[in-house]
This record gives sequence, C-alpha cells and structure tokens, in this order.
Amino acid sequence: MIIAENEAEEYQYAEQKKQVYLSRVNQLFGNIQNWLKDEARVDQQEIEVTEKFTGTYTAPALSISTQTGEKLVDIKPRGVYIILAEGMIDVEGEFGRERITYMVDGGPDGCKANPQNPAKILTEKMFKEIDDDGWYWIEETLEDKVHFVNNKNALLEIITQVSE
Amino acid sequence: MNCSNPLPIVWENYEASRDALIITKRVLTHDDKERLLFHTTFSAKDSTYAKRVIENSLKEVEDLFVLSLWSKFERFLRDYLQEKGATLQTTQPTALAQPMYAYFCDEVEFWKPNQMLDLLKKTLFISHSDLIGQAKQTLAYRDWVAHGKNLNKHPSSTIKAKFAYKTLNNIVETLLLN
Repeated sequence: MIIAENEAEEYQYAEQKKQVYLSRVNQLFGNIQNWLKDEARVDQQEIEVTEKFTGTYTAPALSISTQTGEKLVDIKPRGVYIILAEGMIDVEGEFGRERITYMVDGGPDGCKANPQNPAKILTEKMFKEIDDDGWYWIEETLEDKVHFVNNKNALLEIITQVSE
Repeated sequence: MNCSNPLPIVWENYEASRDALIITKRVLTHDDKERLLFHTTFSAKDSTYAKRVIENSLKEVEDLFVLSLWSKFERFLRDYLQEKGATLQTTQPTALAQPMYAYFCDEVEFWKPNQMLDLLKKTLFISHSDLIGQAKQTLAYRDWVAHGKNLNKHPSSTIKAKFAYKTLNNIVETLLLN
C-alpha cells in the first residue's frame, strides 16, 4: 500500500486505497458465495462506510443464513484505514463478533530488543503464520491464533465461532 | 520507582468484560433466562431490545478499553522517562542534583503524548518508526473517543482493541529491556 508522508497526501491516495480495498472485499465475497453455494443462503446488500480520508462510500455486505432461512452471520466491511492491516471486515453472529483483516508482506512488523544488546532493536513480525497476502482471521485471544481465510473450512470456523 | 508492564492486566479486563456481555447475550435465549437474569437490568426488557443494547455495549466497551490501554501506556511512558532521568541525581554540584531531578520529573508530567512518541521515534525506535506511527494513530483514536466520538470528524484509522494492545505492548516490552 502507498504510504503517505502527511495528511494532505493521504487524502490524495484515499480513493486509490478505497478501490483496492473494495476489490479485495469483492474478491473475498465472491469466494464466500462460491464456497457456500450448496450449503447456505448468501444475500448481498449495500452498506455505507465512512472514514476520514475517503468520506462516505458504498460497500457490499453479506448476510448468511441456513437453507431454511435461519440467520447465521452478517459480514460487513469496516474500512480500509485500520492500524496494522490494509482493511477490515466484521463477522457478526448471535454469539459474538470476529474480524477479518487484510495482511500483506507477512503482516505488520513489530520489534524486540536484542537480549545481548538491548539498545539494538530487532524487527520481528507481530503475527506468525502470515505467509501470503490476503484476508486473515486473527482470533481475539492473547495467543494470536491466525487463520488464512482462503478456503471454505476457515470461513466455516469463523461462522461457528460467532453463531449458534 | 520500578516500571513494569501495565497492559496485560488491562487486556485481561477487556476480555472479561467483552465475554461477560457475550454470555449475557446468550442467556437471553436460554431456557432458564428468568432465573439467570433475575434482578438485572435485562430482566424487564424485551429480548430484542436487550440484544441490541448488548451489541451496542460491546462496541462501546471496546472503545473504552482502547482509551484505557492508552492511558496506562501513557502513565508507563512518563514513569519510564522519569526513571531514566534519575541519573540527574548524580549531577555535580550535588546541591543542584536533587532539585534538577525533581524539576525534570515535574516537567515530564506536562510533556504531550505526541512529543514523547517523537522522542522514542528519533532515538530507540529510529528504525521502527511505523510502530510509533501506529501508536500515534491509537492516540488519535483515543482522543476521538475521549472527546465524544464526533461523527463529523472521524479518526484517521479504526482501532481494534487487540491491535492497539499489540502495538502498545510491543513498545512497552522493548522499553523494559532498555
């Protein structure tokens, strides 16, 4: 993602970042519809998202129900400007809410002091197991359990986590 | 003074608060809900309304804990800098040492959070300025929450409590080794 030097520059890049984000959201939603086509009902709506640099824009959202019409989850884009990630999507069900975030380049860099020379600070990835660019579900626990949402099973795990 | 990491306990409190609300939401559809909800604000409420209140509260609790994480982090930073400044007490002439250190400690209390972050960015974290940038975004979000979440003036980034915790905790853990 382009890194702006200041706020004025960020406003200039916002449209481009938003388009990249929406295309990633659309790609994931296309996958979801494909993964669940024989097992659940997937309805697409539009919602409004408002962010400082992009202003208000329309984004797709999904509502997933069982074949008999029992609601399982809502999947709603939250925006492109998220710390540590390049966009976030909420997955909300009766039993809770989890987030899917778009990670690139192995995920965000953190740091740690070199034990032999603490003043020399080394780079260390904040999350393990982020190998490819894409949408990741990082569980809301201290253990940082990471799931790459690139297959049906990963999606079903999130749905199970937040719905009955 | 001996600095220690104040953030894991805040995170633990956040998890407990969040999960307590999630459990309450589950209780709304439980067979024994009348007994379980007895003498709580939810006992007299319609369950659809109660569910909406809990969902709103979950969002509010996350924002309030971002604020809490930041405030503990900021207190830690001031304590840490004051502790590092303790070498001023060895200043010569000795008559100057203690008053100068006391003055330094008083001043640190008034340093702006962004100034403290810039100090870290230009020194220990010179090769990890992104991390300090993320801490600044957390601060901006904290300010937005603390000043009433003005819907006409959105923060530059959305902050997920977990990511705020990871960012600030990473800085604290690194400082504690120095």
